[in-house]
Amino acid sequence: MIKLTGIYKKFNQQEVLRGLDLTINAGETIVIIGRSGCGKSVTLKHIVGLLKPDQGAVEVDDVNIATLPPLELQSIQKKFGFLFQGAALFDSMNVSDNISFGLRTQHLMSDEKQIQARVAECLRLVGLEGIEHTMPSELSGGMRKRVGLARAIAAQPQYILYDEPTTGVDPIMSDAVNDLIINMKEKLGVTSIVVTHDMVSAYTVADRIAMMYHGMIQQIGTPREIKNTLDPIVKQFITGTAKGPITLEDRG
Amino acid sequence: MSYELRAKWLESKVHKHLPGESLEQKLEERLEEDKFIKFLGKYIVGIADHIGKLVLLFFQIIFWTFRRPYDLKNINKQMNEIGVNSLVVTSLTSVSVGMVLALQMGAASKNILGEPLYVGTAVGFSMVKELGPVLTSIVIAGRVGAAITAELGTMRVTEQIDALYTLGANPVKYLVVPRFLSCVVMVPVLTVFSNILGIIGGFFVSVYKMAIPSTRYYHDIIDFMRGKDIIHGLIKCVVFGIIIALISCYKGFTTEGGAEGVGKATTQSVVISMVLILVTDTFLTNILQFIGIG
Ligand SMILES: Nc1ncnc2c1ncn2[C@@H]1O[C@H](COP(=O)(O)OP(=O)(O)O)[C@@H](O)[C@H]1O
Ligand SMILES: [Mg+2]
Repeated sequence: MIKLTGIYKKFNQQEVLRGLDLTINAGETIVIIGRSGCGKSVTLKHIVGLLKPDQGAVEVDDVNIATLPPLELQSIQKKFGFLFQGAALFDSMNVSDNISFGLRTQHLMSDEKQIQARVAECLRLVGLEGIEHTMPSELSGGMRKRVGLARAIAAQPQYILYDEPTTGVDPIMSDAVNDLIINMKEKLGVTSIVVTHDMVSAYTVADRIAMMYHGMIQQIGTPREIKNTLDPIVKQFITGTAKGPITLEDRG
Repeated sequence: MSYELRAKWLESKVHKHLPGESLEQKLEERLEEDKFIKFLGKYIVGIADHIGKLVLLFFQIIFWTFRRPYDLKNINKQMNEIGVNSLVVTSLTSVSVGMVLALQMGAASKNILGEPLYVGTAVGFSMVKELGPVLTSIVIAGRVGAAITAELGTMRVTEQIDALYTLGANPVKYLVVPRFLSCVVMVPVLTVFSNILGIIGGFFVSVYKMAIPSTRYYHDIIDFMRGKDIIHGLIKCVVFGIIIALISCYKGFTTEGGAEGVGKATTQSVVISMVLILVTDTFLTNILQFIGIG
């Protein structure tokens, strides 16, 4: 279980998170929606300990990682797989080395054949068989995203954080990515947190959807509850209209 | 205290203003002073902050250097990149410098004393104690320091460094330690090459241009050079290697603001390293001479 309580985070003078509370139960898939720049990626980075809150607690399986010393934090980070918004592939390594990186550094597998088999399996899951020896710079944006996805799931983590998994991916492949997220949950019992702008994907994969606004959770509920929301802010966002309580200048 | 509050507070305090000087003027002055002190304070705190973080990075490097497993593959790769691939540039630099030193020393002593004297001594000592270490380090700071900052900075802004963390690799161990070790080992090694090549460059000029007998040139160096002169130069190299690695890795790790940020960080890294090398050289020479090394 992951529990965020009263998270405040400021960059220079800009307050990004203002007392965010969010609980993610084991085995569920939570989708976080919200406008660009509202702090969704920042929230994900707090959950894995890449960013420290100015105030508040981030508990992962009842350990507050906000105050954990670096070496212990590293052992907690092994529970996570993280798909970065920009994929963040290591561009000095080929696809295969990218995907197997976590397996090697965490000493999860030592047999080279086993590693190669796992790499091939992950690539197959994201629909990119046979590109093991390609360099990241030769891939398109959507392909990079999917290699990032393969890398995030390779070590079979307990929690997977997806930052915009379907952005830049074509609609057919998007659907495959949704299936992958659902499969991870159903077959492996993975807990997932998905940040997305893609409402179709959100309704498909989510057990619960949380909308972020002004550094807090505006509303959280099942896809059905969110669809039938009475909150004008949430309603405006999910229907995607320019007129409403959220103005274009208001970055949320 | 905000400026408005402070202005009000000053207003209640400042009664004894000089005739002809308005209260507003006086307040304005005080506020200007205030701004200046704030600016200065911010600047000093900023520098102290950087120094603190550099020291912290240094300790982290030491910690991770001795922690198993050793990343021999990456260390080897960086040694090659930093050492072997810099050899051509540093060699060219040092041969030229050795030659020009011999030319100048020969000309100067000829003007003053009527014949070129102690050319070997001048070239040898200058190279081994000063120009070898300093010029090699500066060339490395330009070539290698810039590359390190640009690479790590790009990794920072594209979140590859964050990705390392989430995949269970410590970025200091994985990225910084190999580069640090390579700089600390390779700067002295390259300097030794530079010294030898500089002296050989001086030799050719002396023998073929100024007709100094080759044994004369040889003895001018060998008769005066002591072990501690060489150690003097090598200690400097190690320190310069540490400076280059620390500054370039730190600048890379703290890069912000996309491609433009990477460019800025790279420039700053090179400039800071070069200035620090020259400034440290002055202090270090003094200290080393004081404790009797060279
Ligand atoms: N490392 C950082 N330094 C300064 N500002 C940051 C940093 N990371 C994020 N921000 C700012 O925080 C805000 C939220 O960013 P982010 O979480 O990436 O938005 P999004 O919801 O689109 O993922 C943005 O305005 C961004 O400029
Ligand atoms: Mg984002």
